[in-house]
Amino acid sequence: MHKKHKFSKKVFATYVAISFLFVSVFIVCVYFGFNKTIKRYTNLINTVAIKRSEEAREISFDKVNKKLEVMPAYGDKYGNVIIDSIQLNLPLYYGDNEEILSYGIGHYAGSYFPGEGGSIILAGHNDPGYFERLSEVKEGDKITLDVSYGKFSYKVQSTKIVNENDLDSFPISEDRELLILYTCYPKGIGHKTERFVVYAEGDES
Amino acid sequence: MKKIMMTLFTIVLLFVCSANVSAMSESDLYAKLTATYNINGYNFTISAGDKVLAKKYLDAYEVSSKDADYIAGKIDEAVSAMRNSGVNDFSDFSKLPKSLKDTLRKLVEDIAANTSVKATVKKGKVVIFNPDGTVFAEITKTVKNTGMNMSIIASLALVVVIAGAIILIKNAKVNA
Repeated sequence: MHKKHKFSKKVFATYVAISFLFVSVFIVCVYFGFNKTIKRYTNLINTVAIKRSEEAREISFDKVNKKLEVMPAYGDKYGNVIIDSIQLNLPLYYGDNEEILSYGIGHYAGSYFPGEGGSIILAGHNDPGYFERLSEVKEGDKITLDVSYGKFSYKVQSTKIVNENDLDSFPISEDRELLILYTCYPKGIGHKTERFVVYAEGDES
Repeated sequence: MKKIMMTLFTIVLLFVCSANVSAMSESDLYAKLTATYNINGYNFTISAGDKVLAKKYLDAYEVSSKDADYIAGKIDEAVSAMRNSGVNDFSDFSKLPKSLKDTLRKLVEDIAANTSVKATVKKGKVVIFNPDGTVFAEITKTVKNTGMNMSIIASLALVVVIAGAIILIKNAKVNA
């Protein structure tokens, strides 16, 4: 006669523990071993998913008054962030919620637009394909914001590591065009309380 | 009698005119919105980023003086509720008493229901809408969490967990 084995709680717990271990090892191996491939496919999916955002509304900029007459819609891609010194060229979106930051670099809506003469705050994940190499940026490096209404160049003045609650390190000025880029620091999984920040100002050269 | 009626009419007219004069303009509303309020010893003002957002909204859209008056009234109610709560530290809104958070949420909902300025509060996030219903902006903290993009890891984890669950179920059926 065939004997029935009861699927006991102990066996179930063992299965769960082993699964959890496998899941953890698998994720770590896949993420670090294939992050470039993952990124390529993620970008592909994002390109399809955010088709609406790629068809951004036309932005108009009043050069005399240094003011955007028509702003990009929240979540729209309206340009690119280019830092040649670290071979970075990434899409720039208006807004910086979680969803937007998964697409590319996010522009904090409570800061000004390039050319308006105020602070511009841009955030990006510290993953490959985002601001992973931001900490390699050095004083004097050039940053270009190639946006739909013009190209704006900035020169890195300084960099520093700050606490996420140190809002004085993210000044919002209306009369000084200060470009601020930041990402979590150091790299790694989990919540990071520090940020690597790059400060750049208009490059007249 | 006629003289009394004329006097009454003049008083009413004057009252109406003065009411119009005191109606709030967009710049008055902006000043009220961005003012610093002393609440139980704590100097409260909205963040510099939220001030920029308020300016962007008022530059982009016209807010009627009627709506501006209504919003100004709600700002007064908010300040009053904050004072009455006895709280003296507003640096972290997530730590405010639930009753106060509910009151403030209700004020935002009142504004959305009774003026052209549409907003919602969900999961502690205030979203402001354009008149056409699309998102104007989200009011969030200035500095975001920019650690590893967890959505990629979460997706992978989900796949593996599902695979693990299937294996468990199959094993359970075999052993049954």
